[in-house]
Amino acid sequence: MSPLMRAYLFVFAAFLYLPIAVLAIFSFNASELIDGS
Amino acid sequence: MAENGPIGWRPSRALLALPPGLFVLVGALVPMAILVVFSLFRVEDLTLVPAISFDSWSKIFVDPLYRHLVGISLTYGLITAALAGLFGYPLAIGIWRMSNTWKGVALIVLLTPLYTGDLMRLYAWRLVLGTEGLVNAFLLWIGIIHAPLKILLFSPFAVHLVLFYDTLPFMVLGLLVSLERIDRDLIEASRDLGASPLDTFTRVILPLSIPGLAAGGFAVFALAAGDLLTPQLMGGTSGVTAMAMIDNLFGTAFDWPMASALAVALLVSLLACLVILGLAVSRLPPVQAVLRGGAR
Repeated sequence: MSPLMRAYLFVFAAFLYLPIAVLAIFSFNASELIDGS
Repeated sequence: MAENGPIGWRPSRALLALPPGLFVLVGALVPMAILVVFSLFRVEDLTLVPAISFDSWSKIFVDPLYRHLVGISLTYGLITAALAGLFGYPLAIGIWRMSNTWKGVALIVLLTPLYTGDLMRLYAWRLVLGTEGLVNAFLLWIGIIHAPLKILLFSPFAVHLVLFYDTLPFMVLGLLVSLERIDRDLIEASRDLGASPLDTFTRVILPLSIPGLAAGGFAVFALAAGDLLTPQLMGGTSGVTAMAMIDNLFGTAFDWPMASALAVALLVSLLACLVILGLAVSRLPPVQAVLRGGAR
């Protein structure tokens, strides 16, 4: 598989998981808020 | 006896077709028939009156608002299908060329985001695209923009992006099914006969994968055109589609005949688009060549 194709697949994997990653990051923030820290 | 199958009895084709036939009849045709019947009713003093009235249908044909809403839904469907085909094809090719182990991993990567649920994904995208979201924060940080972009959220761009995100796996899966059925000997034969990789792609792989492209495209088109939540939550004022109107008419407005007529009109428009697209695809020269080859 060419490096270009590999890069394309990685970019789309990142695109697919971007919203989930953002939710995960916000979930940590939310737990900090709940703790009052 | 051998011709009667291993248990001594071979069911006829009609009998085998009965369970899926019943499923389609009860699951799709009966609700559609009920919608058609409801579309002929009238509403008087917030009560559904069973009478044969074409008021709702005449509104559908006369009032440009309904045609406009159906048009918006179909446009969302068509653009999403085109985007999914354009960006999904290289993805499917990439996954198809992987080893079986990596193919499994890639399919898990592709399908897992679907398990998170519609609403969760939509709210996550709002966090990404909002004025204080991830994209704006990044663009401000690198200095490309000096004030948050407002067109990222509550715009047709946001609706198209999220519809594309939601439906991409269906396009890739449709394409993969088609690509997996291609006889690898054909690809090898084209290379042995001196075809360049581009020739092999355009003359062998692409024509043979068009059924998958069409199947994926039809699935994406129907899913995107019939989506309610994505345009509503991501589109703002541009998110008013035929589905949103149907939801409003069935719920708040209590105008079930109008909602039913609009639902049937949307479905008929979708089917008409699919038939036209199907005919157009089947007349493409590479598809004609495949169909002729299959007939031999």
